[in-house]
Amino acid sequence: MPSILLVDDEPDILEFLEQYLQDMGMDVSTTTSAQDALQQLRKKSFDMVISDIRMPEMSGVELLKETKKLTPDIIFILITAHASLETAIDAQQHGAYGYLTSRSKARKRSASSS
Amino acid sequence: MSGDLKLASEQRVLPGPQLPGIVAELNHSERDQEIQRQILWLIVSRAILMLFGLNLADLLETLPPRLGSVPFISFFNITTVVLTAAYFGLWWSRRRPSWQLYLQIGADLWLTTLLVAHTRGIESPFVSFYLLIIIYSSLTLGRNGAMIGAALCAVLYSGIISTTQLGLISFGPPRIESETLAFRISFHALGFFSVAFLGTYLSVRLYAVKEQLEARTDSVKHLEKLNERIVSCIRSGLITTNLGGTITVFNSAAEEITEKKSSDVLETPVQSVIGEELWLKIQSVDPLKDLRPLRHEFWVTMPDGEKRFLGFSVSPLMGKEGRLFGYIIAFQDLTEIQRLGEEIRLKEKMAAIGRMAAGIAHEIRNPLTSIRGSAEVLRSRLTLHERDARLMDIMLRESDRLNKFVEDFLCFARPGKQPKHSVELVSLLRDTSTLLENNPEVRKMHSIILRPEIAQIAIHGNPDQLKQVFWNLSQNALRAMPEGGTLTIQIATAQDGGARITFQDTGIGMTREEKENLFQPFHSGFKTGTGLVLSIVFQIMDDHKGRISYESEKGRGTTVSLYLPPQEPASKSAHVH
Repeated sequence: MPSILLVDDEPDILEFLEQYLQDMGMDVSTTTSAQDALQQLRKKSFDMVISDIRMPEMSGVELLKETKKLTPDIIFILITAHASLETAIDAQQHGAYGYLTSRSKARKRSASSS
Repeated sequence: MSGDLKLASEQRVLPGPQLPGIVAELNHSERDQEIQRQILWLIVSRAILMLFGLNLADLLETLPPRLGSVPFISFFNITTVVLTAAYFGLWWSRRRPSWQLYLQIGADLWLTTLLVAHTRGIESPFVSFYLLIIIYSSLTLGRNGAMIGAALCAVLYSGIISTTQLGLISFGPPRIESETLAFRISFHALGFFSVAFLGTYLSVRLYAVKEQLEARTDSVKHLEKLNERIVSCIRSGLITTNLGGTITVFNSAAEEITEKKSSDVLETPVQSVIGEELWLKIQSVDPLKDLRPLRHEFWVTMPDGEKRFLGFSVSPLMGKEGRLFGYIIAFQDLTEIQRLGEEIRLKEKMAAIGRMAAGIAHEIRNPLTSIRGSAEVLRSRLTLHERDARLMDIMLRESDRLNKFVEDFLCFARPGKQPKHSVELVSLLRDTSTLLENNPEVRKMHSIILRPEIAQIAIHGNPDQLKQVFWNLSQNALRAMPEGGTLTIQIATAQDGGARITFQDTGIGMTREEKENLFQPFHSGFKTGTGLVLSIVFQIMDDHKGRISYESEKGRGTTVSLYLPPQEPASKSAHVH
């Protein structure tokens, strides 16, 4: 069973994402803090990390950097509701596996229903 | 001061020995004209005096009958006429006026001496002629001329008297005591010098006064001209009125600003120009108590319907004694300033709303993501009846709608964050137009015409944002044509090398109020709009240092013009996407 670590400072988002991923048959661990995420990463090995970019203590990109130091081969996915190209480039440069945003989808929608 | 004056006048009267003729000819200064006038006056008056005085003397038989072989009076008459004619000739030729003066003085001295010698010398009534010569030489040649004249007179007089007394000339008067003679000669010489001195003094004073007067007249003229120039050149409209409000001055700027001709409004009531309200306001203030200028601003509708925002400043027009004569009304066309001010206020408003929007959007977005995500998880997990599934769909759809609204909000809040590079606009417009044609909102009665006047033009910008601008404007244009119509999109190069793009529709147009609120957030002319679309367009254009303007007429349609500045040389080298 693939193991995933979910990091988001919003517990509600964390909750539905956890349920959703569990429904898909994954072993999901969650945390609302990037620091805690790093500790979990040191204790246990995960196949994948999904993290929000915007978090109060440590940003997703910083978490990505730290995580890559610990386990360079881990799949790291950043999610955000507030996309910007700079953070995307930044994330990719630091070895993010993917960069998902609802914004590109939303933009297409905005172009068809403005 | 008299020394300077003299020097200056001499320099001008005596053009210098090197090129006297040419310079004198060329130098028709006022000073020369003055000398010319003096010479003429001299020629005429001495001719009259000689002819009249001598002939009168002849009648009274005070003159000797003959001078040598010619009759005495005839000799003088002829000499006077000949000299006068010669002087006139010289005067007419305008050559060396000061030389002419010396010549005349010399000739007069000689004639007077001749006269005195032949009219009983020491007892001659014509001795006073010497005084006349001294006076006019002092008037015309100044101090030195007068002193030289006086000295010459004294020498000639004493010489002629001495010779007659010594019997060198046969028809002399009765001889007198040598002491009396010496006394008389020195008395006369004293008289000559006194007159010379007095004449010089008076003439210097006269010149001084004259120069002052001229200087003052000049400065008055200069001031008048300056005044006129100021009034006509000043870029503010300037009106003066009397107490009753009748216009007395209406400068050219006032003509331009009010589009009224000064000839039409002069001597008419000022209310027609500044309005009844301001005039009442002017009259309600006591300018003697309240010295601050009265300020007033209002919109004026021009004859062609154009509106101008004029700012007035009214000051009382007072005489020296503090008596009120009327009013000075200065005004300026502040339309542009007002417009810029409004633009700035709008921008500030936008920025404030943007900051607020960003805050709200972030606060809404996170719970919204949870709601939508949870709903989606639920729907995938549950097997729902059709009715329940519809409700679930509503949740998802409405979440999407809310998300879209937040999306717009965020877009509005931070358009500047998007990276910019070289963007080709014509292809961008083609994309938009293709996208439009495949859009459900475009119906059969709509036609979209893309008319690029150029093959391509690149500017520095963000293609996504610019596409959004084009899309939003096209969409608005289509919505403005619910009954169908034509949307014409044009693109051309602006004068400075930037791009000019217009979206012209044949739709419902806008009222004045709608136009004023066009770029304000949450003011949608359409029932379904969020009112953010054009605010976003405005923000994006602002961020691209572009401009957006529009013309609209209710029932006729709207034309929105975009201007995007040319890309700077540095950004041209940037990679093209």
